[in-house]
Amino acid sequence: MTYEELLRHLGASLGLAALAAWPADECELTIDGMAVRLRHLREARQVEIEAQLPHASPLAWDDAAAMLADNFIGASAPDAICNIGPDGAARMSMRQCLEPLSGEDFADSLARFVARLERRLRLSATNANATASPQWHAV
Amino acid sequence: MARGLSRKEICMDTVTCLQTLLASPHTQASTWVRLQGRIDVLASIDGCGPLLRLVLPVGRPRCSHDLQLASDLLRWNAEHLDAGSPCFSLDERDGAICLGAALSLPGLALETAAAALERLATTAVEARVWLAEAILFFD
Repeated sequence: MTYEELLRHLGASLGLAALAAWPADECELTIDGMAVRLRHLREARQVEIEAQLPHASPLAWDDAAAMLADNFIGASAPDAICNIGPDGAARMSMRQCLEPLSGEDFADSLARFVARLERRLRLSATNANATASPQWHAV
Repeated sequence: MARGLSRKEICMDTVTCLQTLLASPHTQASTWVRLQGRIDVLASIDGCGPLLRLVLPVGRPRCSHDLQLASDLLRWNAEHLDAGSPCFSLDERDGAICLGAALSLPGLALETAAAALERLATTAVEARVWLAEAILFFD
């Protein structure tokens, strides 16, 4: 499937008009009220799906532990993982090889990503005032 | 996590382990796989995902609430984010740090799973150097 076909398929299956900007290098779209950025990594033949995560600045222990724990529960690559970029911003990211990749596969990936992002944001909001944090064992 | 063989019961080679696991009729099953003769990885099937999850226990931090370490682990994830790359995670139940990777089960080929395991082992060696002064590794 060519990028143009993929674009058409995604636009049809997800109804995302913002995807008309793709395959530009980057485009941002809103899915279920959440901002998601798509980055086309041409040389790697991959597409990166990314969303910002709210966290205290500087990074608080609870946020860091929760993000790492979420990676364990939610699965690591090829599903979304939480990470911290060189700029210190917390993100949820996922990379997907473009070939082989069907439009259905990518639509599924996007749907999984958004579901995980939704869950992460919901947990962050729920735990905003919580004092408990995961117990790490001293050795 | 699914119950399965204990770590002391590792006896099969990588391919046999995976063949057994992938052929399992159960929605949850797990087995330890020994890689490169010394790195033990827990491979488990999570039928809910559905995923094949590969987890390599790394160790526990020397002190609890080590924000710097947690932050470093998240940054490492950001720098190594790639399709199929393992990432650092934190087991919320016992605080253990793991390197984890997950593969979608539908259509998963044995060769792909074996390659992911080998990639996990290679990453573990790289991460071991990086983490050498921070935490215990491989017990």
